[in-house]
Amino acid sequence: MNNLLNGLRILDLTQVAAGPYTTMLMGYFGADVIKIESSSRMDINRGPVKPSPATHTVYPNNNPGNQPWNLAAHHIQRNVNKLCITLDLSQAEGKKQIYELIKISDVFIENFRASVVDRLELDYESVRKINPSIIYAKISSQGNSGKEKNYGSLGSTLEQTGGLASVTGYLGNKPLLTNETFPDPMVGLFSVGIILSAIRRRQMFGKGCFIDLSQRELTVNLIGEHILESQSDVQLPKLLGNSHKIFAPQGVYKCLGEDDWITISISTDKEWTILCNIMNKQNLIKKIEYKTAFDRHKHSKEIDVIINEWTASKTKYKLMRILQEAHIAAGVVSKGREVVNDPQLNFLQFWDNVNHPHAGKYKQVTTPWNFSNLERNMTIPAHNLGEDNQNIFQNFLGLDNNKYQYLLDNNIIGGSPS
Amino acid sequence: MLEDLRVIDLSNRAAGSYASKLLSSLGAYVINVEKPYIGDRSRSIGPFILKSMYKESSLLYKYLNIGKKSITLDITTTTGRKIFQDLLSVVDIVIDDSNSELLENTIWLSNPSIILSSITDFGKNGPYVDFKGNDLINQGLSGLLQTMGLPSKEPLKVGGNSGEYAVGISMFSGILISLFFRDSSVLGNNMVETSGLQTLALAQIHNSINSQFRGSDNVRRDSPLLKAKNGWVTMGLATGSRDDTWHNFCQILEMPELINDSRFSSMELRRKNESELNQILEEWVLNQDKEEIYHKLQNISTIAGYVAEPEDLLHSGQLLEREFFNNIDGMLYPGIPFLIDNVRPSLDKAPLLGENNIEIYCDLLGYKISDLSLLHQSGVV
Repeated sequence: MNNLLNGLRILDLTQVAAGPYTTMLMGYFGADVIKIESSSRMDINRGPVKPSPATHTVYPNNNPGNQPWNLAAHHIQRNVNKLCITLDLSQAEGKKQIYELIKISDVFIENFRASVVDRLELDYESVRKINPSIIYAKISSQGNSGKEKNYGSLGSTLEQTGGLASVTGYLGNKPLLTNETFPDPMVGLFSVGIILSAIRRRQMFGKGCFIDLSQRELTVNLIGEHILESQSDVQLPKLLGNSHKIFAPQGVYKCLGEDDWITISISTDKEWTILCNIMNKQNLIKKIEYKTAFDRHKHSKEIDVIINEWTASKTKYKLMRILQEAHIAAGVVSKGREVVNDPQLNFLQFWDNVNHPHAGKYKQVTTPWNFSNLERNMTIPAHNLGEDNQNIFQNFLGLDNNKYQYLLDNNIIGGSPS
Repeated sequence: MLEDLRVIDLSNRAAGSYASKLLSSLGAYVINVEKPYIGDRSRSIGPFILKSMYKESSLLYKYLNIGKKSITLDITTTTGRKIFQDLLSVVDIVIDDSNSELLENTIWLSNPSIILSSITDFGKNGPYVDFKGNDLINQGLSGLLQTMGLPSKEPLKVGGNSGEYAVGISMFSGILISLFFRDSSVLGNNMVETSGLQTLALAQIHNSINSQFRGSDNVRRDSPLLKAKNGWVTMGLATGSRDDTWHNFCQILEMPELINDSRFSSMELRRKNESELNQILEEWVLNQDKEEIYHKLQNISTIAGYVAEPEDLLHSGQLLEREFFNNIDGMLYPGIPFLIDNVRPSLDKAPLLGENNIEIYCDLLGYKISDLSLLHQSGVV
């Protein structure tokens, strides 16, 4: 389908979450993403070659099938909109082939531990020699310099080393991790803007560049005001649970139904009165101890008990309707199967209905944007390991049958995962 | 990279301010349009430098508006609106979070090539259009909240304003896509929208996958954090480590008997038996410095972490070596998280309320100083 980034070729050496999200998002606007793996080093998202019963990799209906690496759910979800090729970069011939691809590409993106590209001779200097105008995006854990340059991380590590965990936790309790590896999608989303800025500059001035993005530094950006606060005269507790610095009450309350919850946030005294009326607790309106947000903060524990008593006997959807009709900020806490059916997200066309040839039907995360004059493409389901080898090596790079067969026979392209 | 662009930021929430800060870091000229006397909402939200709160002491404002210009303008008055139209004729991008249709019409009547960048909680139309949201509500509806926190307690939000920053990041990248379109198309009236709901639904990356493919919803679980002498760590032994990591780890621990313990011989098994493993490690960890554990374990190729408090970050060797912080008026500000060609963008300090009125009204738009003082007297500026 014709779209904004048609003709923009991205060599994608990323894996896990952050990088694959970036290229997935750019793929929705027509960029040609060539994802490079090797049969001995697949994207970790593809899971183990022979999953044991202890594996935490998710498979459709818990069935890994004959080729688990093509069915792993996280691969299916993140590697949409990409062509998948396999190339052994540790062999001279493999290197030669990726250099050929670099020549005809616009963007090179990787998220290895920092020194891996040096070893593979795929660092910026090497790549720039082959294609001087390339945009090289290095999305590493700690950036391309410093003593911790080769340290590795997942999103859950970054939450710690970037300080996000120090502000995430119940009031007066210990720090907690998000279980959703929050920094990963942030880095993925962020990199789209930086890479597009670099492409824009290249269109104007013909210059490529080296982008050195530190995932840890981006995570620190998410708590910037706390860094400043720690240097000021006034320091307040950092673990605030679900409460709001100013508004009160604000929290997550138990509803009728297993593990069902609702969020409620009262931002003015008038809304407090409305809530008391809805709860049929008019006696609280006059209560001087609950008059202002400041007072209600002080008494938040007992107020939360009162609200919980009221919410416990009602379903979360009913509560959301009642409260929103009264112009009070409130929402259901959606479970995984509920969020894919959320009417607003579906109205905004956030989910695509995908029918993956092997994994079947599911709803795919797409992009967080709507444009007045532009539409994203429909999802192209994730490809199998090496599915596009012939297309890329023969049609793009023009290798003849003999040469292609030679590369296959010598396990430089293709081969079974091991 | 974006030096040719001018941006007006009308927004009042952290999301919009962070988006325009990122544009500014790439060279765009960003004008923060604030209400006379009151200023942006973040000026009255803490943390504050001093106990007494006043409009120039908000650290949240300072952090978010570094590198920008500030003008005051009351766009609800007739004169203010006229001046606003003059301003619109010289800018490329407007960031707004008021979801006002009137504004839409004014903007494109004045300058159809402007990209209107809209931030909402739930989008500009649809079944939730009249709903009220905020960071917590959006995290709940997006599927992010349900699986965070302890199983015995209520779901827990990601802390600080990080949900808002997420929306800012989304807006930033959305603006760049829209800019690409504007540069390559004759169509005007370009709008790009993002919302808290969509951004955070993108940020939940396990919940909707697991429930769809595995057929069961994710549940909340405790974090595998262990208590060290001075804080919290994770050992990072259950994912992403090398074959010889476990062997090296047992050496560090001085517990060679664990090397061949069948409960821990692979990453998968260490993940499965994580709580048993943590019980064994508890005592050792408790007597060590958190950052030392982190370095020791990272050096044998684990993905160990330590919970850095803000003050730890200010002393992090890695961050200091990369000159991550900007020293402004004696305070260390977290810098822009990337380098282009080995240079980190550096930004000037945040403006005082209306600091750039003369620069923008007189130098950029050609008003006389005497006009400006009249506007000032009437309260428009």
